[in-house]
This record gives sequence, C-alpha cells and structure tokens, in this order.
Amino acid sequence: MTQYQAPGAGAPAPKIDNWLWQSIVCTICCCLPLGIAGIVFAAQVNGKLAAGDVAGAQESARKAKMFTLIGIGVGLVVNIIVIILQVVAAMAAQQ
Amino acid sequence: MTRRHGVQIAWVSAAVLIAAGAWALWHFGPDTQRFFPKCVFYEATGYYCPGCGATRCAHHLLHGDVVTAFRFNPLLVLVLPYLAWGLWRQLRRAFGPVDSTPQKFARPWLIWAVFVLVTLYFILRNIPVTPFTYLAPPAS
Repeated sequence: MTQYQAPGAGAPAPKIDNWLWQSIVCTICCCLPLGIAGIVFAAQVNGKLAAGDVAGAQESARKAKMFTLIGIGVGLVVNIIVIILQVVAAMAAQQ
Repeated sequence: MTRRHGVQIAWVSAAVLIAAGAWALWHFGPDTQRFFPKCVFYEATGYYCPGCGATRCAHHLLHGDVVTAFRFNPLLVLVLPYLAWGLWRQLRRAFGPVDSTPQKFARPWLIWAVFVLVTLYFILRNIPVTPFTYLAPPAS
C-alpha cells in the first residue's frame, strides 16, 4: 500500500469510524449483501484516509454506516417475520 | 438530552434485547425448536451464505462447546475476538472518555483481506467436495 504524506502532516488524523466490525456482524448474522457492501466501504474509509482524502473517507464511512444499518434493520425485520410465520405454522400444525 | 445520551440509551436497549436473545438461544436448542428462523438466503437459493450455521454455532458457544461451534460456522468463531474488541471500543466511546477512538483497526490491506476472506469463505463452503464440506454446517 502506497503511503502518501497527508496534507498538513503533523496535524492529528481525524478519527473516522469505519464501521468494519458492525458490517462483519451484518454479513454473518443477518443480511449478507448489504454487509459485504459495508466491508467494501469500510476498506475505502482507511484507504482514503491514508491518502489524505478526508472528505472522501467521511463519505465512505457514511455509506458503510448506511449499508450496515439498513442491512441489520432488514435482517432483523425479515427474521422476526420468519419467526412469526414459523410459530403460526407450528400452532396450525398442532391443531 | 444530548446525542451522546441517545446513543447510550440505544446501547442499553440493545443490551437488553441481546441478553434476551442469548438466553433464548442458550435455553432452547436450534436443532430441536422450530421457532428459530432458518437462513432466508439458504431457503431461497439452496446455497450457504457466510452466516449459515451461525445460530447453532452461537448456541454451542453459549454452552462452552467451542469445537462443535467451530464445526457449524468456523468463520464466526475466528472473527469473534475481533468483534468483541470492536464492541468494547464502541462501548468505551459511548460511555467512556468523549474523545476515544471507535476503532484502531485501520490498515486498508487488512480490511481488503477481510473482504477477500469472507468472499472466499462464501464460495468455498458451497463446494460439495471434501475438504470444503467442513466449511459448511453439518446437516441436522
């Protein structure tokens, strides 16, 4: 990985959350495609930060957060619907 | 109420939900109870996604059986320490010193390696040939 000297080197690098672990949770636990998109944007955050592109890194972090949160939300909703359907089906089978 | 308070309330609510979910998962085995959701991706496509087996994996982990848990979803067991560390840093940011960093795991090539690992895992566990079958959750 090429190391660029960030403009204004010496100033502390801004702290930007890359949402990596959350997107891995999303990938493994509920909603696969959006979680993988989250991992890709997480990688972009730190790539852009290393290149000194702070605005780009913030934009990627925003997208990583968006995809991960939508993924977790969709995953939760879908799974709750599936649980309800399975409970209903199990109760119907007992009758 | 500040934004920080909002984040703290969200974390406490999430903790209650997670504790309830963990209790249900510990108490009821996914193999014997029907109400645990099957992987929607698997039901729809017949392919294993990187998360297939995660519920049974978590059930065995909660019972301290790491070996069986590993069999159901090896990737989840392997990345769990990293996930726990990420959660810890996030919690420290929400409840600890205001200026603490959410994450220090920040080398781009390592994150791309995670991406490659997850994608490879996704592909390989669907190859119905030994040794790749060991990556897929055993039928139960």
